[in-house]
Amino acid sequence: MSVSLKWFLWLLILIAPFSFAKDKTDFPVFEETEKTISQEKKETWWEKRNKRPDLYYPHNVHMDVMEKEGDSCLLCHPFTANKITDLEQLKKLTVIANEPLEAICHECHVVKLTAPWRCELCHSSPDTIWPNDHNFNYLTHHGEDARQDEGKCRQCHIDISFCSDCHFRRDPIQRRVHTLGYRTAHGIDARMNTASCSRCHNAHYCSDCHRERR
Amino acid sequence: MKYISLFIVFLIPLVVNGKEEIKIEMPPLHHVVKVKPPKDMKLPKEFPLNDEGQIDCKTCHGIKDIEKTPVNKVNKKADNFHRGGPYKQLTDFCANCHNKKDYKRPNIHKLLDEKGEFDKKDCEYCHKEAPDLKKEIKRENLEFRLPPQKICFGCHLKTPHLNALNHQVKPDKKMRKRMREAEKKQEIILPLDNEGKVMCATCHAPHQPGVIDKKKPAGKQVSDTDLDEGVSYVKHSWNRVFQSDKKARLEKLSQESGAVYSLGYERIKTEVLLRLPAKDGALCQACHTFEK
Repeated sequence: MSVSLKWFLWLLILIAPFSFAKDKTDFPVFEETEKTISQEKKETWWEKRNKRPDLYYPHNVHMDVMEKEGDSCLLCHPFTANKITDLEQLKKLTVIANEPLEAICHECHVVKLTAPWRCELCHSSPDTIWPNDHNFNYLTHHGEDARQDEGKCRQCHIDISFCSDCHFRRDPIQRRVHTLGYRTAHGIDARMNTASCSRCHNAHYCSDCHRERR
Repeated sequence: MKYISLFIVFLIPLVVNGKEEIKIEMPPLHHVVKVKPPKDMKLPKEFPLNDEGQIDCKTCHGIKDIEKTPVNKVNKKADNFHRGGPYKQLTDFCANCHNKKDYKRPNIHKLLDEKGEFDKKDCEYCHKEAPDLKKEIKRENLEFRLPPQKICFGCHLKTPHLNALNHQVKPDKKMRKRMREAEKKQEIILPLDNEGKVMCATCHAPHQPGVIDKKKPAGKQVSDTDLDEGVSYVKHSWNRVFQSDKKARLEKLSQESGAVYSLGYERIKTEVLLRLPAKDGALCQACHTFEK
């Protein structure tokens, strides 16, 4: 092989990747400016939202449901008539109009329970939705909040078993509240504050034993 | 004597000017005043004319001594700034004396008469020359009075509905590919403007159904109803949920801006002048898709 041919082949090998690199597109008219525009483009609210690791919204999953219900994209992204000419205000209003928050999502997933209602389905980590007052001591006085607004608890603890697993538990081996030997002294507490017993025990719990002894 | 003459020359004019009435200038684009209304015009009883039977400040404004108050000191937010107010729109106030129907612009999209024929002159609202519909029309040969992306703004706002503004952008390569696929699949056109941006006519078909042959992609469009009814909505229970979702944010925006904003949801009942139906999302999905 002559030296010039050898150089020519080397040159061909070096040039080859560049000659195939150009992406041939069906839309040559807009190709030149494509890169500049995408680089300059600011991130939109929905792009930011899609990147949020704490919230998951699969659009495609909702399509079939909406079709079944006779709804469309307009359910969350309205195209209603507008007369506002102040563009800055209109942009702010459009973000509000377009971005569904808790009330919209929870309507089906929490209130009506017509959609799957497991929190982790949309909220990837419980830390992101964990209420501030649910700290280390909350277990002992959660009852006060529950009595005031049970609905508020139900926003997250949708399944009633979350409450009943403890409150209606009768596990003689693993006693959760009362100390060993409490059975002999329980009558004093029951006379002093019967309501305190009834938080966990229903009437049958008492009568099952007390009736037999009569 | 010198001092007396100086007093006469300088001070007397100042004293006289001080007593002269302040001349109030009206704001620009104000309704004409000091004219008699036409005989066939009926003014409401609460709209008084001046002693000479002419339209004056007090005819339209209920604010006391408005004719003596400088324009920048008039409380324009007062309910009675426009008599009988407050009004949602200024034109509602005008309708006290003027017949709204007389001032309604013709619907230029309504091109066909009762017999289904159209006057070529109507085409010239938008086109420089009426295209010959019997021949094959190429977009390059259509001459518009204004660039196609601006032609609607003569009658409509640039933002006639929510989300209009954020759609007037250049779709990326992937989306353009999807649009071409939708055009083929649905046998429609989704035209972009000269810069490749989405414009009103990308989604909206500007011609009344039947003007362009329905078999042609440019003529295929949604026609649930006639142009007189246009787009119509029905109330829907989702409105309650939608409003509660937006309430806090709207209140905050209203506080910041000083204007009152509201949002609601109504389900679309009828659609017209759209290339694909929006009420079932088909129009949106011609461009947008969501990966699984």
